[in-house]
Amino acid sequence: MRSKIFSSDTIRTTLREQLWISVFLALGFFMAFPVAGMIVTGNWQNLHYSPDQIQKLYEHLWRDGFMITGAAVAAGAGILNGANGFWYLYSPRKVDFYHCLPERRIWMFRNRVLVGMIYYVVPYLVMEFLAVCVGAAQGFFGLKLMGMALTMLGLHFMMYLLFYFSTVLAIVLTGNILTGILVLGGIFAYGPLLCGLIIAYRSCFYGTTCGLLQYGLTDFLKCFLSPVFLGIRLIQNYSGGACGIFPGVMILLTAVFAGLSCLAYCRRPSESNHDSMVYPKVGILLQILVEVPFGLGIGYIFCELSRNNHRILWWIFGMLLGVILAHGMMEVLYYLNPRRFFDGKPQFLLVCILTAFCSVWYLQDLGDFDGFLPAKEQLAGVSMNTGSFGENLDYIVEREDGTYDSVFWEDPESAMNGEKEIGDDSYRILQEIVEYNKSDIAADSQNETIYRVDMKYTMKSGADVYRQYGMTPDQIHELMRAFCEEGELKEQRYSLLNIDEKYIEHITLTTADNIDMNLYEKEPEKKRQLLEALRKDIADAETEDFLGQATCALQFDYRVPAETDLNTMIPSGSEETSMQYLWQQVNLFPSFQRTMKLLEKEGSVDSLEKADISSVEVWLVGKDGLSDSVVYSGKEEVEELKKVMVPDILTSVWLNYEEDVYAVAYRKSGAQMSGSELSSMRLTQLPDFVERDLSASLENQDQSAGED
Amino acid sequence: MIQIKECSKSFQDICAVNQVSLDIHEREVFGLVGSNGAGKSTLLRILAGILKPDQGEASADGMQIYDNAAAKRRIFYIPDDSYFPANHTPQEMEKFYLNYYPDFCRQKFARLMKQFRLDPASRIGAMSKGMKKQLLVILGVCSGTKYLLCDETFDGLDPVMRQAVKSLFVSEIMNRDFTPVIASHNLRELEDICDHIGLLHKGGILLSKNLEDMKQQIHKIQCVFRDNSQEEALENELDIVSIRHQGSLLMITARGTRAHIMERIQQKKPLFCEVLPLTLEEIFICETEVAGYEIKNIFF
Repeated sequence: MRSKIFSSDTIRTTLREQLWISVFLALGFFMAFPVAGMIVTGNWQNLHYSPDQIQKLYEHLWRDGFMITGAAVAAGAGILNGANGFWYLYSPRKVDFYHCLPERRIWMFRNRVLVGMIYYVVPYLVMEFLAVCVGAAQGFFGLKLMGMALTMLGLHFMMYLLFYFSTVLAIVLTGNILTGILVLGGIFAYGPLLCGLIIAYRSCFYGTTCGLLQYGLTDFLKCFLSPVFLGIRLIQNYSGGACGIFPGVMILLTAVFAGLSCLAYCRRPSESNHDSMVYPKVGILLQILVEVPFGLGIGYIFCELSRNNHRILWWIFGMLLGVILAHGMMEVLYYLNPRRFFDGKPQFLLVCILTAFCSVWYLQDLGDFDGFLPAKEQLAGVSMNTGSFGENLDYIVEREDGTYDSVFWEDPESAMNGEKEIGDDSYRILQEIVEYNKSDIAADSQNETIYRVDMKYTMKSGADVYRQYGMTPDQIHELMRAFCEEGELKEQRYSLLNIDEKYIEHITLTTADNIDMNLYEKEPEKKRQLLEALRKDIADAETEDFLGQATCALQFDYRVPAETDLNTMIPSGSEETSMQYLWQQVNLFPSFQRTMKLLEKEGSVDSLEKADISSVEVWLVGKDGLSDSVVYSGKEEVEELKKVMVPDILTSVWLNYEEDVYAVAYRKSGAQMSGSELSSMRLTQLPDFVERDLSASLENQDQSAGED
Repeated sequence: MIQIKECSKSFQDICAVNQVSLDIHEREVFGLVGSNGAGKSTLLRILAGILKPDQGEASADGMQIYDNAAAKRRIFYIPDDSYFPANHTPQEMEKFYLNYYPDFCRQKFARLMKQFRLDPASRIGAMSKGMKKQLLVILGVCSGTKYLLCDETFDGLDPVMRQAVKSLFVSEIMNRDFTPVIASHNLRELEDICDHIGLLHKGGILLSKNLEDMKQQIHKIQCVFRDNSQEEALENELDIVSIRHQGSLLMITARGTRAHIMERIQQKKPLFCEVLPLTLEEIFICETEVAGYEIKNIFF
């Protein structure tokens, strides 16, 4: 005969026993839904949002605000219910009481899970319904809202189950409260901590690590193996419009935790409530999982603290110290006996071997991290952060709803190859750059300017790989050329010009002598003509034209429709569509004849030779950090300098300029030097008289320094 | 019948139960005796299905007990260190066990609560240790299980209640299929109720015998003889376990049937002869000596 543990009578009895949990959770959900809802809607009304805006904000509240507050309570409920249901396993008396009852372990497990669910679901449903009622009373009601409430219920329930089974797993694997709490903390934080350690080691030992970016393995460790971060990512994605794969991952992780919990619970020996770890083999596995990273972590700290030639020695010392400390602490915790600090020598040896293997892996780059370049046929796209070398090429795209968006360089849309296959030339140059970095020339180079450039490879499998390469100006030039010819760099670079001219707010010309002037204010026709001429010039220009020296630049400021951002919505905004500002500087090259012709009519200056410069101060910065300057005000000298000076704003990293030489030009000369100072300029080459003067000046400085 | 076949159970390095084989027959009171740490509680926890034996098996009516709801439904376990869910009353415990034991008798529970003068509505947490034990016995008896495992249940009960509980057990045995298994370290406590005794020592079973059978084979006689020669002759003729003098009174404990012993004594024409009841302790002294153990080393 089956027992009646699932009868309504039993459940009612059980619920009455621990009614405080439901009451406690009801209070939490009351604060998370109805109270939070009333506070937020009250604030909107005080801020005088229009009814339409409030409607949008209220809908967003069910995707964002309630998701966050509800998730916090659901996670807490999971931990509370998990602990309440299985805490008894730590008490021998309670274990005897429950385990002698005529019920199979599997049914006991199911019973506890079910009762926990009831503790959670009933207050949740009541409070969510109350929140819906509060909204309806304020005029917010509809099928869409009901759907969102239902979705939120499902997502929160998933989070509840994940946290619940995480807690249960921690309890059933351990035999006392201390290790239970530590294991639960490990379940929540191990993935992110390991992710941080891997990133730290990559940045320490690999030259091509792309900052603190998390992708691939590190992103997986952080987000997919930690219930906390998985929950956060799910909320962020849902709030942003799509959950992506995260609900699936959460269900999978929950199923794994539930399965392991059930298995461990059913096989758990009743007498194990004093041992630290119920399953010794799991204990050894956990020992290794903790001690190896701990040793590596302490080693990293010592490695970072030491900046001298003995860095590796300090690193090894740190690792050894870390492993000894971690192993000792684990042994003490495992046996709850301080005398066991130096016990467990076989495990210690195993941990030392694994730590040594990990350290050699990073030291020798056994995974060929720095030399990695995906096979050409596996590559779907290559993105480059041109901002790494001062070229801010925002790629502007028009969305289907007529709004515009500036695409971040990492976005697959802004891949340099666009939708084409990676070109042979582009790939060959990438191979050269990878080899250059692998051979450590980039890191060791003392004589050449090296730019650290972020790159992203998007694989056809969907995986992303980030690297940061050291590149010479020539390599950047070659890569830019290849991406222009084989890819869509040119189209992306001038994508702003595809926006309808009606959205142009300002056009600013920056002349060769660095003077800004607004063009065609209240002259839309001229703006249109300028844009048309520029588009034609760009279409006709050769690749090398774009990579040459610009003579002046145009800055286009647009005010375009943008996707409504509820977080920055202005109260009582009269416009139906949100607007955003987009701007881009377009360098003008000598081959842009049509554009130049139009600008000349405005009396604009596209060459320094025509500029009114009366004196130039040339600065030279020596290798030892000493600097000196010489002022030239002679007409011939100034004219000579005008030929080689380029304003900083028009320079490109791949073009050659004199190293460590800067110039400042002045409009007026004289004793006062009160003229408007022009911005810093670079010199394409040093005139003889400048070279002679600066050398003499630096020699004098060296002598003075020697005498001192 | 409960059967234990070569059961062993160790806790880390300590072997609590070592290769124990035991049969507990139906409708008899089984006493499990042994000193502290002998393995009584561990054996009872194995029988209650709480512990899984490392070796061997424990079964009730042919069904393996561990993680078997059907077998466990025939067993109610009363632990030495009782636990009740927080803030529960006897009434709530009654409902709780009603869900697990289909044969739980509510009428009997109400009657026994009244007989033992326990308030069904009072909080168990406020009850004394003895009252909690009484409540557990009542719950165990009312659950309608065939086997009732009592771990040091008489500890903490006053003599009146102890007797009441014993009477309750006897009454249950008479009325239904009921087999109490009582573990105790106190031999005197079990002697007036047990039909069968199992003696545990250092995790192993020293002996398991029916008390009546044991009593048939050993007797205690006090007698008075005219002279010492008769006494010496008797010592040679009987299988004497112990012999001592109290003045002219001779106290003999000897193995053998009552008829055989009395015949030998009567042949010596004693001035006075009387058979005295043997205490369980005395019986055990004899039996453990046979097994090569000194009972005083086990219990005292």
